[in-house]
Amino acid sequence: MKFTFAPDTRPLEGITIKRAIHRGGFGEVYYAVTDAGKEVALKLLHNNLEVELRGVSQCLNLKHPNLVTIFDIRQDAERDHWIVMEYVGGQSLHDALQQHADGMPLQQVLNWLTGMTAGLSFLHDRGLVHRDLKPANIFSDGGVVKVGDVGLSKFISESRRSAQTQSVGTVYYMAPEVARGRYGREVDVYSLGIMLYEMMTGRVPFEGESAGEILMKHLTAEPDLRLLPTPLRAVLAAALEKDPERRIHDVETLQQRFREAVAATGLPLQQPAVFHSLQSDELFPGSPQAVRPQAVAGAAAAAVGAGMAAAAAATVNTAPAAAGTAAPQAAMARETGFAFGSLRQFWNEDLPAPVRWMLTGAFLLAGLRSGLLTSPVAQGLAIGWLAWWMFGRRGKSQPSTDSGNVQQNRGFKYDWQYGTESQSADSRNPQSAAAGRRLDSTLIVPQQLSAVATATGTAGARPQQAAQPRPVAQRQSRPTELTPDTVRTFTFSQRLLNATTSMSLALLTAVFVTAAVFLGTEILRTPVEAVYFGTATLLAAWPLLLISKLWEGRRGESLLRRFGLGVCGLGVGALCGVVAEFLLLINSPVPSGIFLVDSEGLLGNREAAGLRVLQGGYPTIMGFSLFFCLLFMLRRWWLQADNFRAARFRIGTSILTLIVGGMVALIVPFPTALGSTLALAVSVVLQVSSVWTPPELRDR
Amino acid sequence: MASVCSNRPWQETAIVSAGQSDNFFLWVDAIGVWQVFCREDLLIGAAAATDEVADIPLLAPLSRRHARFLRQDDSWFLLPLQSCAVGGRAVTGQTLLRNGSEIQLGDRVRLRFRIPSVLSASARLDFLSGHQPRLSLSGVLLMADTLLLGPRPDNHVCCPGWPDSVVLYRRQQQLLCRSRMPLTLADAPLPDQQDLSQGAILSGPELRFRLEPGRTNSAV
Repeated sequence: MKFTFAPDTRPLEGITIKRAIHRGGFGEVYYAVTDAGKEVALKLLHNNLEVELRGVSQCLNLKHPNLVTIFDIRQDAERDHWIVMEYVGGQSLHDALQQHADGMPLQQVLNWLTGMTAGLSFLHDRGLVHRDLKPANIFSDGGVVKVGDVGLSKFISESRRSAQTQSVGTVYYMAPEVARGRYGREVDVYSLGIMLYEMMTGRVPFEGESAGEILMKHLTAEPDLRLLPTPLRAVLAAALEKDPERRIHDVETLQQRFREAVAATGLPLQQPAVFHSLQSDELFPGSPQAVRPQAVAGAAAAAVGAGMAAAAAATVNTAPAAAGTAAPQAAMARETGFAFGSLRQFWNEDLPAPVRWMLTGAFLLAGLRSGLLTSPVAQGLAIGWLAWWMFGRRGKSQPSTDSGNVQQNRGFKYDWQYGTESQSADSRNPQSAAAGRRLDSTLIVPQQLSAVATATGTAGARPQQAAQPRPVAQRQSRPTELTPDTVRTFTFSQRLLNATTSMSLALLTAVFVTAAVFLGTEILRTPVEAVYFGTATLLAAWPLLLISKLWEGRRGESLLRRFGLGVCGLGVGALCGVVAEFLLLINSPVPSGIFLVDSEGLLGNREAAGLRVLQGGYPTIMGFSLFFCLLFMLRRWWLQADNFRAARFRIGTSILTLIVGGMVALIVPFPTALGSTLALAVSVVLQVSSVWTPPELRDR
Repeated sequence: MASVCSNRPWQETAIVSAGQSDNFFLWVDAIGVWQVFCREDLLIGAAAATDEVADIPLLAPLSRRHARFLRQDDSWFLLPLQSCAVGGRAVTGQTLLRNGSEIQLGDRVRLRFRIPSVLSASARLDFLSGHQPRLSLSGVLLMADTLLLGPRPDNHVCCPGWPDSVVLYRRQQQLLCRSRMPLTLADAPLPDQQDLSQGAILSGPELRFRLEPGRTNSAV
């Protein structure tokens, strides 16, 4: 690390530089001693532009034990500005976090929180907002927490030149509205929330390979709160609320609610509150003995002389007019969020598995039988939802699912969004220039965010500084969950065994599902129709199983896979059509009612490429082929059969498949009741019968 | 030696004549500052307004002559002159210090004694209780023959981010430095056997440190 000034130089009269401390976002920081022997920190602001120092001067006379004191602002012979400030000798929060990679003991979290809250609260009380809170800016000197770099972030927004020097480290803690140029004190609440999350879990909630990706997650992704004990989730959710109006409004409230939640957990304060396991949900409620003993701490860390900061101020320019109404709104949002969370928790954790399965079956049958799922209202809802699912989710790359596990599939949507497979991004060069481009091309991002993102992206060319948060590559080295995305190696015989086991099970499952549909609904009226239904289900499920087991654990382009499945669907459809003809269900004097198509569909009965999809109200073989082709293409079936899928059976996945089946039937056209039920049956058979490894038994 | 990377030959240079000063400050950019003592007998005590007597004067409620650190062969001992404890146990006579021993002086001052490297008898004192000399230090180094500065945790001065280590060692009356990294002095390659007793700023790839002679205290 190179610094401009050598030890033992005197850039300012009466002050001798002794050593460099670090290079931060705004310039170099030196440890220096005055002629009388006073220790100070000198921060060199690298710009000779018309820097706005009004904000810095605003902070000159602020006195609070939890804020790094600014003594003076001086200019050297080169007309560079120096901030002379209190030297803080202790550890920074950034250093402390590195000692506790799996989360800090709760008592330490509370100590940091108390100091930060006091300092920030003082600042907010004087109408100032920090806006650049991050662990590298927080210090603990002899047990006293001190917040540094007060107000310096002003330079980010006001001078493009200075924005270039901003590092990616800052982005992890930046509130979403900062991108829109909005700076209320909620910005600090958000950053504090991020730091609390990091102190608890050892990682920031939004990680990414580039500044642009992280910013995007701040704007759109929901934080994964499942690592936290249940009582703390609601607090962190309220602190990390995207909309500043709905966020917790001041740091005091955040501290108070956090303390109450910690007390509610009943966890011992000497330990971190986080158990890094997939089963954290099961472990937490009321089982403190399951908490892992405190990770090895106290490894002698390099006693890094801490850097510090100070300077410009940012006035609160957004005193929310609707403050009175906003608070109850936030509370209400919290309540509903909590209710949904507890319902989900009840379903996932409290219900015994057999009951859950039986209820699932009952719901499905009731839905099918009542015709609710195939009614026009349901279809309308489904069309809207499907449209959102396909087009409206841009930017939300990691949909969290209902099973309690995060899906990490870099599938079609993700590739589409970023135009590249994210895993292949070069982790050694995390802030690729592509970051800015990605953002520019995304319509929902305001211009200002693009500017910030481009700037931060450019800053990536600089070497990572010691005082910045850990490099991205290191952050991602933490143990991650094994998902269908995990690349695994199978021998051919293993694949064969998996496939044959699953296919034999599929036979049995298909019989059960068919029986359920035959006995439980009015869709299938005769035994022949039931036989046909079972056969068609198997004809579709078997190839899907075979192909899925072939692709399992391999890296593959989602789009190509969908195309392959589509081709396979053409064949499956033709076979199903032939079977239907063979069973005299279509093209016979007395065709079966289940094949009667009541609408002309979106395609209508046009003779596409000279082939009719509909003949006399019944689908032709071509119709069958087209239906299965689209059905196979529109779902990522291989994920339903992967042995690393999140749960053995997920009702949401099957219902989505049912809806997709209904949609396709409307498009092709194909009988909707039969089409959606078939899609549902294939999904159920696929999920239930394919081999599945529980998360705790997974390895590569 | 602890070093891992290249096969470059070790370069050595005298940087401080030991005759000039028996202690020096080691200012390491981005890491911290240590006071290094090249003596076998050191006095620790309270700082005084005039006529400083202690080698390590702390701003703390102690006697001016509170205890002495003694080195005999490759072992360090604490000789208490006032109330002292080692490892939580009050001591009155000369006590052997082990790696990791916690030393308590008076009621309040706590220090950690470390011998980080098995290759050297040099020791390090870390301040646990926040009591410091007037200029705050990252720690005090009690140098026997060698000091290791480098990226490894068993170096006396652990410098994360340094590509390789630097060894400071004493030979006869001189303090020498060697490293496999190319070190420069005032932007020129480090000359051999250079007397740099007025202080030296050494730079290498991604690192810079300064040796500053300290005051010599003969009041013991």
